[in-house]
Amino acid sequence: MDKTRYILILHFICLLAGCAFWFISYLDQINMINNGYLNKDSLSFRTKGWEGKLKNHKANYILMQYDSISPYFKYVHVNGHVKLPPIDYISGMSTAERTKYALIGKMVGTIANIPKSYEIIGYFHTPHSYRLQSQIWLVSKEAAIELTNGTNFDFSTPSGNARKVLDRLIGSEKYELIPRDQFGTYVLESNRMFPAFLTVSILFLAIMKVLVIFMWIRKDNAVIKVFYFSGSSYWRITGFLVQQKLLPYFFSSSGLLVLFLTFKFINPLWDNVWLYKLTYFVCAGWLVLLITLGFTIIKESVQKGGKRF
Amino acid sequence: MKVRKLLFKQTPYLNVLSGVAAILFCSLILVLILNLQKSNIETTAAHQFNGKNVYQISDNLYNEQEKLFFSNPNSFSILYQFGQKLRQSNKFDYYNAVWQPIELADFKIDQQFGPYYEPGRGLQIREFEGKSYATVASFQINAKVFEYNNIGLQEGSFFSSNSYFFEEDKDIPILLGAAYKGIYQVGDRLELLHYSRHFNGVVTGILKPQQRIFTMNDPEAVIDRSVILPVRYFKEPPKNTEGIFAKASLYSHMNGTIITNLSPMELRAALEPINVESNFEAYSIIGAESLSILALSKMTDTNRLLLFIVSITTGFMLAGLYLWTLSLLIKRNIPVYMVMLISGATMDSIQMLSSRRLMLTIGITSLFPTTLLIIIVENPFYFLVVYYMVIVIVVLLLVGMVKLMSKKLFRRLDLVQQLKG
Repeated sequence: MDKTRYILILHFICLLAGCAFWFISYLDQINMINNGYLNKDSLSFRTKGWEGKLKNHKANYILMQYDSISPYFKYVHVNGHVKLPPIDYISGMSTAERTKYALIGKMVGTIANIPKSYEIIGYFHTPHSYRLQSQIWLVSKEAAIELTNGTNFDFSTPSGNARKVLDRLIGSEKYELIPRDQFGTYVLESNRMFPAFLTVSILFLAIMKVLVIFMWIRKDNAVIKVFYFSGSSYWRITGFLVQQKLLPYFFSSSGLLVLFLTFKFINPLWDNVWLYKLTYFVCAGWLVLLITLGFTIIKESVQKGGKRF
Repeated sequence: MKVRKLLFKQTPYLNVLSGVAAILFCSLILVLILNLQKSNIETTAAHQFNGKNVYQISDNLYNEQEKLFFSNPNSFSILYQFGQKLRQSNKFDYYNAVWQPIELADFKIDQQFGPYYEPGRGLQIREFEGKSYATVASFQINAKVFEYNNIGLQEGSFFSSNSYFFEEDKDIPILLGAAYKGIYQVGDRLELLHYSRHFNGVVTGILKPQQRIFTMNDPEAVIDRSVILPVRYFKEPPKNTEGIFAKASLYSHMNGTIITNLSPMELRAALEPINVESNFEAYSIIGAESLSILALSKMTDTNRLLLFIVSITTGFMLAGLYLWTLSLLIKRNIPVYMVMLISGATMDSIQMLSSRRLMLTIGITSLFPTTLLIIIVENPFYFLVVYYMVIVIVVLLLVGMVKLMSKKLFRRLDLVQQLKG
């Protein structure tokens, strides 16, 4: 009963940490939508001798191409597994099995300039993002990039460092980065401070987790002493504690991770950073549990001395 | 004190960890207060435009009409009168945010400050009276722009009320966008050309990063890479009308934005006396796209609601968790409490001891985040008062809960059995 209670509390802590990590990523996604689907790591660049050929076409990315005269009219090159902004699809339309399609905002004045090869399949469902609402996206999954459509680009990737991914795609010498301004909720100071609040919460949860693990393990000091004085080997004591504490916690927290993983598939965000961080948080818990176990066994057996039977 | 030492020695690691948790708990309260205050300010700023209509005054003086208008010797006086009456009207707010590049002398060259940098054009440099001047992005704004937008300053001071009037040979105060930090400093004197006329300027302040203002062309015009000058209204009709300075200034003064609760018809009626008094009617009123303005306000509103719900939920859950660990700590200290009971302590004094211990822990640990507050916040007094008020309420609630918990715990314990060991 007591064991279950401690494990449940530890999982509650992991659940809260998972929610905090997820919320940081979720807030980033909202900011990204309000900023015209560009996040804080997106890169803006213009070509410097680049001919539109991509070196490696395996990465996940969105490359928005536009002309500075009409920055709201974008040729969007999508590759790999990339989440698009929320879309209200026109009845019977979807992105499946299409290599070219158009998405437009509800504030767009004219659609006469959309080429015929791009069929409008939906509208951006982003009521607070006036930037997306006034944009036309001509989405293409084809690798070819026609520089006649514009020499300015915005690049976003969910696969880690955007600069490294872009360098692998087109080479650092062939583009010139443009310092990018942030818009929408990105600029709000309260938004920038909120991840700090959640980070302090996660630190607090980490300390709580260590505290609970410590109390849980130290609770059985007397049992370790009895095992030790009755002549049990260290391996037997360790085996007993691993069986009683580490394994149940290990398996149940793995179950928790699987639950979060399922949630990720049901409700994906722009990137999976939150899930990686949660995995580190859970693994760090296992490590702390292991270290505390070893520390307690040594303290309550070897360091106690005395006569063993 | 001896008892407290004893209790500390009983579980030293747990006590240190519990202290760290208390510091983080107090920091959470502090960050929460700071954040709610910030989001309040930002929402208020965005709400300034809420429910209001925004109109742009646009003159109709093109080509032949312009020539015809300026053939009138009173033309400058008419434009001056019209602009003056617009900004002095008490029926609406007259908002001037003019995007107009200026030229800076001996500019420390960096392409990104050029007004056309993003479309791909580099800095334009030209010689003027023996000096080279670079064209840089600039806004000329009036006091209403500061009122309607939540503009923050990281150094120096804003414009004084006198700055908004043109005076011959007087230095122009300059505010610089955050990207200029490190290039120029507050107090630096700059030579500049505004509508091709030479002025001396002095840097009075540097803005915080990621500052933006509402303009008719862009509801979120970012001013980080811009030079901000005050719109300088003439105190009387300009006498020297040579060059483009007087004419262009008068145009920019009158082609402003009107922010009001008035409907288009009511606005026309409100402008009627101004037309008559200034004898000027060659202009149009353009209504602004309200969707983007509304989106900004809705965006900040939703944002605040989201932050508020998540902050409060997280706060409650973490407080519950903290309370639970406090109860575990009390349980671990039961042997010490037993010894105290044998030595003549009463249940009340033990409960009092655990409550005082909690108060002492949070009292000491609450000091740590205040150091941070004093460093990062400019006027920390208000936040300190609110912070300690919240801390006192939270401590009182926790103490009450701890008392209840310990009472319940001791009631369930078989003391005789425990004392026998």
